[in-house]
Amino acid sequence: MKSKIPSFLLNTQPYPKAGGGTVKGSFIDKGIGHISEFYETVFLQWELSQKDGLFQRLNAKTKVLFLVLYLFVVSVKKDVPSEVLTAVFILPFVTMSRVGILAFYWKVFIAGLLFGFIAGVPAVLNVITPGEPVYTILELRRQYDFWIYHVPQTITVTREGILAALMLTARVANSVSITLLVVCTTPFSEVVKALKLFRVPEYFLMILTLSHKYAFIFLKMLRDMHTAKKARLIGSADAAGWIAGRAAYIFKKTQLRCEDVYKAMAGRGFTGEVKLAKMQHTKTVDIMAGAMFLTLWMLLLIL
Amino acid sequence: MHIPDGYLSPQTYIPMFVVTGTFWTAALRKLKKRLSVKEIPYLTMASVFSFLIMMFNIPIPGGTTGHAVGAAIVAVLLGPWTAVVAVSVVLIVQALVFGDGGITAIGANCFNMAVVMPFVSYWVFELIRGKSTKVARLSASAFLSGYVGLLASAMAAAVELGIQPLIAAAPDGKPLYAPYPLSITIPAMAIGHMFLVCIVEGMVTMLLLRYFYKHQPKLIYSFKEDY
Repeated sequence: MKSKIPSFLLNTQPYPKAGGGTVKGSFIDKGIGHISEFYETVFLQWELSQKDGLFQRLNAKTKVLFLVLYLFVVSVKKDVPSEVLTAVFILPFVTMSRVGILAFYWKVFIAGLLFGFIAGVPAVLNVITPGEPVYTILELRRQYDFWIYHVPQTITVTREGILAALMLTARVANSVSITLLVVCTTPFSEVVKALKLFRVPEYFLMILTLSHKYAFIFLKMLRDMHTAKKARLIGSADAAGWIAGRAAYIFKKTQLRCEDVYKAMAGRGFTGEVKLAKMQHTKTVDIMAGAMFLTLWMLLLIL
Repeated sequence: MHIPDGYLSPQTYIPMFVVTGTFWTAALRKLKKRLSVKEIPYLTMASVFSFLIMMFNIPIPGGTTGHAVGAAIVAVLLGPWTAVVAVSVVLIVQALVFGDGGITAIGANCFNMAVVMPFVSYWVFELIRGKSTKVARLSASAFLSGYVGLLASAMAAAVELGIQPLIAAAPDGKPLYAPYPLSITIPAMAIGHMFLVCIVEGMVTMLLLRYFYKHQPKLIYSFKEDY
């Protein structure tokens, strides 16, 4: 899942200095780095959604239905083998969607490791999850009790604790893979339109779509302001003051743009009634895929 | 503080969607009444502003940087109901584009950061400021509104996570979702936020409010009734 944006445009690393060493970026540069990340993520998603794969051919409604049903099934499963089985069911969809299987599962692995395994590791100890001891880590002189906390004399890894950490890791990894599969194969505006399925008001969906679009415009403005400042200043400036000033400027700009957008909408006959552009038609392939997803979902729910 | 997928049980995330959905409906109704057909562009721009606020990093002790949630300053500048919609839109975009926070946890995350935080921040700001226009008092109100608002939001997240072993454990006691009880989630979230993240939020809120007060006081929602 590598984007085609040239690397020098995405570079947020410190610049090399003549005579060795690097020029350290300021904390403002870090913020600007976030903007590059935003562009890269959105561009990458758009690029993947244009590929000719299974999920890319489907209607956004079918994919959002898949997302909701499978996230639900992942959240109700109560043991690790069921989560592994769900992952096995999802694997062919990922392969057929041509999203770059290695990069895809690398992202899933990192998310599972950070938000599942590492976050769940302390729970393997009997201090947090009491249960059948598997491995003794530490023998204290005595047990300690203070307020509502109890530290036993022997600190062990418990079977229940290991299962809890594994369960959390598997559930996080499965949820991430399902979400990534849908998000990477569907343009954001289509995902938003598909939310109509859940009776989300159209004007709320319009706010979502417009916010996503205008975020680009304002992020570009923010980056330009930073570049202009860097080009004019040598040495340090009152950075906190600059940030406050730019945030205020952005606020004023958003207020002015609000007026412009309203006038443009009113000029085109907007009277308050929102009608989003129609979604793609439901094709035979969507019905077949929907039926398959539903069957597999019921199977997973029963197993 | 974005809760990922897999941490909350259906017994928690489904009711959280219902509760947050009620706030979204109330906020949209209230704003429609106030703004009429201007509602869409106004809320769009409020969301964009909220999104951009999260892009500004500021240095924090220890050599690193952090960014604010921005819900406090948005609530003070635009009003708490606008903040409910604006911050929710940002959180939904973040969950769908960046994977920041889970899809099943959108209800809970929006409740914590787009409902609890704006209202608490706004009330704290109003309570401490009173009718004062002194810069020192305004600065203190702004700092505390960001600080307390974020702390309240973190506590809401801590409770949602901490009740998981109580309400959704296996018969043998094995936790099935977030494995840490309230006795751990509350102090862990409180300490982490009180000494670091809340300070960032407070500072961002204070810096921006001082700037607005100096240059554009009429734009501040909280001050509008004073004029």
